[in-house]
Amino acid sequence: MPIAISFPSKIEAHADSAALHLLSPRIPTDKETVELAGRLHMKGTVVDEGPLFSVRSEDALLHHFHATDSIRWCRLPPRGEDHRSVALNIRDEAKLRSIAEEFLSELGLRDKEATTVAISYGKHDSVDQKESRPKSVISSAFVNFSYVFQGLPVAGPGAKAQVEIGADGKVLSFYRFWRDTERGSATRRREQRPIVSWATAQKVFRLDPAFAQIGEKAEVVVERARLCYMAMPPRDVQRALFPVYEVRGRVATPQIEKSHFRRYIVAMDYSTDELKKYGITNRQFRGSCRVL
Amino acid sequence: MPKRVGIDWINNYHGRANDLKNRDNCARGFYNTIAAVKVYEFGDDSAWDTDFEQSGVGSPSSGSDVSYADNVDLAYFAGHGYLYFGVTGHDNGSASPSEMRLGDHGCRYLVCDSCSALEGDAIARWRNTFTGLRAIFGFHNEAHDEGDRGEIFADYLNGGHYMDNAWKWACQETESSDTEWGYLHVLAPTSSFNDKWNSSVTAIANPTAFCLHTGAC
Repeated sequence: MPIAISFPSKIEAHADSAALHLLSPRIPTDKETVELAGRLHMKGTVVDEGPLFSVRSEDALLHHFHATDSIRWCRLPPRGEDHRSVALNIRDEAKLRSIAEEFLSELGLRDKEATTVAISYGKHDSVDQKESRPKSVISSAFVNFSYVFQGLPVAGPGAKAQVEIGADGKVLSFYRFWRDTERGSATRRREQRPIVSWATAQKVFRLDPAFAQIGEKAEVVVERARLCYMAMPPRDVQRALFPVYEVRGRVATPQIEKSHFRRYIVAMDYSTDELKKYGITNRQFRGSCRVL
Repeated sequence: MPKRVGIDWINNYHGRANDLKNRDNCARGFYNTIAAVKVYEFGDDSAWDTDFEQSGVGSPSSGSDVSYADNVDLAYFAGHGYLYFGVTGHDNGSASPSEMRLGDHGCRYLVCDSCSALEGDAIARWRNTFTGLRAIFGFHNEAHDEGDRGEIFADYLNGGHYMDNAWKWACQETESSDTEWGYLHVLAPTSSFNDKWNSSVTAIANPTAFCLHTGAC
């Protein structure tokens, strides 16, 4: 008996067609890393650590990812027992947003595709033997940016940015994971293609072997679904930005009350050659695409 | 003294929950990258809750952590969270914090690469597990079935970074920003906040204070 899966009546973003956007991966040189370190007022030697270049100065660390030109930077304050006991004293979200945007703009890293989506907080709960309840301190704010490309959101860990702000508005760390879609090639190719319908995507989802064993007493609820582009992690070379359905939800069985899932269903039809050429053979996509 | 590691991963839940696809890749990525002696790897039906549980504690009270999770410096679990297993025949198929006592033999660090092990009042839930253990790395809410996190975490640990930074960075590179990493460590009598994988550490047998850090990936 097929399992019952409930889907949301509407998906959050959709289009009838979209572009398969071919990228030209380029590996940044150590000179570019030196220049980037200079913008961050850092002096130090560039070290090739395999997937990234790093620069360490007295009080900061920079990571510059080879595969994507992505960046991560953080302060390296002297570490006592626990340096994060200092409380965040700015809670005005507009102010936090503006600190983050200004910081990235000054560095020339404010991508036009990036929009602030949410502010979340870093917390530090401590408790000693005498206390029954933890003492909770909000130690920093994370201003999170997501990316929108050609009118669709971009999912995946390779399309996001974050600025962490501590006491007195001091930026403690930031990262910017993104593949610049304009840079590196003058002849960018885009192929407009039809999108596999959401109804068809649901059929592909139902065939996912992950749900084959759970039995008829299980409840599978798709809570969110959206059409988006997919950005692979910052250490991975990616040859195309391609559209997917991102499907998130939960499963309840009599044995395990709640578990969560996130699946990506490839939203265009490809030939097997194209799947290989565009790097859609990644294990993330096993069983989640239709082949022409 | 060389460091020792062990991994448990589960993709096949036999209908207890939806199956996963990348828990083997995640745990093995860690195992095959970390600079340490590989002591054990248990996958799917070979991964049991008793690997993490103390004998005589909880109900059912079977446990063999002394041979497995508490016999290595770092034990890495990759599956449904907190620690759910695919088979139930050896205990009840779930290693709950109240059944775990880690560190009285060898374990210094536990990684729960699974959903929500450090959600809510994690300190109250996990404090009795710390019988020598120095820190737990996990998530404050739901995490996802990413295959590369273990390898990236090991890569940063091998690079000599602070362990909390290594975990945070590995989570940033593999999750969306609505997932929250978590890191629970002992604060007193000795703080483990400054631990690095290549530093020499001892058990903290009677911890009196703890600290939980959480933040967006």
